[in-house]
Amino acid sequence: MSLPKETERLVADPAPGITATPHEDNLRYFDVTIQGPDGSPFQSGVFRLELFLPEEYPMAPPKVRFLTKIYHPNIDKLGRICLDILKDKWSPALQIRTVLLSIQALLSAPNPDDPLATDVAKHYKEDEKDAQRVSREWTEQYAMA
Amino acid sequence: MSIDPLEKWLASDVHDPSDFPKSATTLRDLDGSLRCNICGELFSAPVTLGCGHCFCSVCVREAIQVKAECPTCRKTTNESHIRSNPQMEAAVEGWRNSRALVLRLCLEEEKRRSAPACAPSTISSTIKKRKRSPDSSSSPTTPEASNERPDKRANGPSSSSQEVTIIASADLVNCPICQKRVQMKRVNSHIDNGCRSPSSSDIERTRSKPAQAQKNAWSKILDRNVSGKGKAKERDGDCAPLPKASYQVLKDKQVKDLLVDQQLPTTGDRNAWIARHQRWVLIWNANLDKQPEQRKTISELRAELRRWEEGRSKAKKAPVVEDAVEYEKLNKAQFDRLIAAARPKNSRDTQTQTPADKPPDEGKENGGNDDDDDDVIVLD
Repeated sequence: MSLPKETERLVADPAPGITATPHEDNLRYFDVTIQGPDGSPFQSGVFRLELFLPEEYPMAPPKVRFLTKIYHPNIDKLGRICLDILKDKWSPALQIRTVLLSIQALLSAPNPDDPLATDVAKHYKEDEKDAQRVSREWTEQYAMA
Repeated sequence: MSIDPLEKWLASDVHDPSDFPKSATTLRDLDGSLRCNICGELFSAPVTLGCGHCFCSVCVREAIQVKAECPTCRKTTNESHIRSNPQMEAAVEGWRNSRALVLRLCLEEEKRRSAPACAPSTISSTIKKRKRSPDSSSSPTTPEASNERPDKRANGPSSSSQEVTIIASADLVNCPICQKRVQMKRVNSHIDNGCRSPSSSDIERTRSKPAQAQKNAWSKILDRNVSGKGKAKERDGDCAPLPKASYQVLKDKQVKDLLVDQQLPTTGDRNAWIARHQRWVLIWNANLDKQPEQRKTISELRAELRRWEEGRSKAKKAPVVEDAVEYEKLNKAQFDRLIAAARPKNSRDTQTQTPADKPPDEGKENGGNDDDDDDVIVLD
């Protein structure tokens, strides 16, 4: 119901550093790219994600997953994201755009206290400098087009 | 890559604040502020919660069913906090009716400002120019100012001359509906044709509103009132909101009776009955949040319920496979093709870049990450 409008808005007026393109054969499925935020270890990387809007959207949250490998305590190696608004804190007033901006913000502010990738989170907690170095390396290796 | 279906669908009649040009930020804001945060449409039966946030009645009732909080500020709420907001409804109705006109004027204005003023060298255009000069000289030219210009003024200079016919201005009247200049004797047929008949465009505005136009305007208003009353009468007896039922404590027969009471179909199983009754209560009560003259009739509501069920069953039916083995055999060719297509994609995904982008690095990266190649899963 609300799908076409929101897609149009996304395509017509994208948020800075974020693109979202619907698949031509399935308008509920989006190819997403997010630029790593400046000042983070992910700076100047371009991360690819996939986003799917379930039938119940907007009453249920969209499903989002990183396709690009990323070294981040809240993103596991399957690309799954630990973010409250994608789970129990979802609200139908949130939109694809706000979700993607939240994910971008998560890159700036990793939260090792609520980890998904436990080994990465441990690394971040024990030696943040070194963990950030690895994040930078991964960004250079996987997220530079 | 062909984006035909996408383009077709983007061109379809979807309204959005971004319809207005970027320079018209105030109009974008206005359009956005009259839209529901949940569905993105102009408010339909706007209601306010205790926190003051406003949504379509249907949208917020549906949202509260899932989670009892305000979708915007997360303040705990429930259905008893819902209050209809007739002022907002009136504002939205006004905007809905004038939006197309304002948008057209706004786009014309944008076009006019971006295109260099090229005066066609016909007599008619010089006449037009001269006659209009006092108006256009006084009109502001900065973008900000022109956005806030009232409609009437914007109309003058913006509707540029394409087919200028010289008609004595005394014969011209404003169409009460589209505001175009029409010859007085043609105004009736112009309105009957849905404002499509050729209007003589913009020569000069006369302040006098001829009797005919006024009569038309009055009859339009009066007609609307009459039909509004008629509709209200039709529904007189049944304007009470329906109570929610606690289905868990009801026996099958009692659930069925709920549907029978409302003269709803009793097809399907218990779950279907509950879903149907729940939805009926929702759209019924949401309908009551509209002003009486805006409300839908019972038959319209029934049709809406039917469409909702059809949409649901379509979405549900799709993934059901009766005989898995038979299905696999039938679609083997397609599966093989998909598998073949997925293989190269699989290795590409873990590399995080298309080989075409950077072929020299491909081998190097592949070598470094062999252990991760089987990690890619498909989103459920």
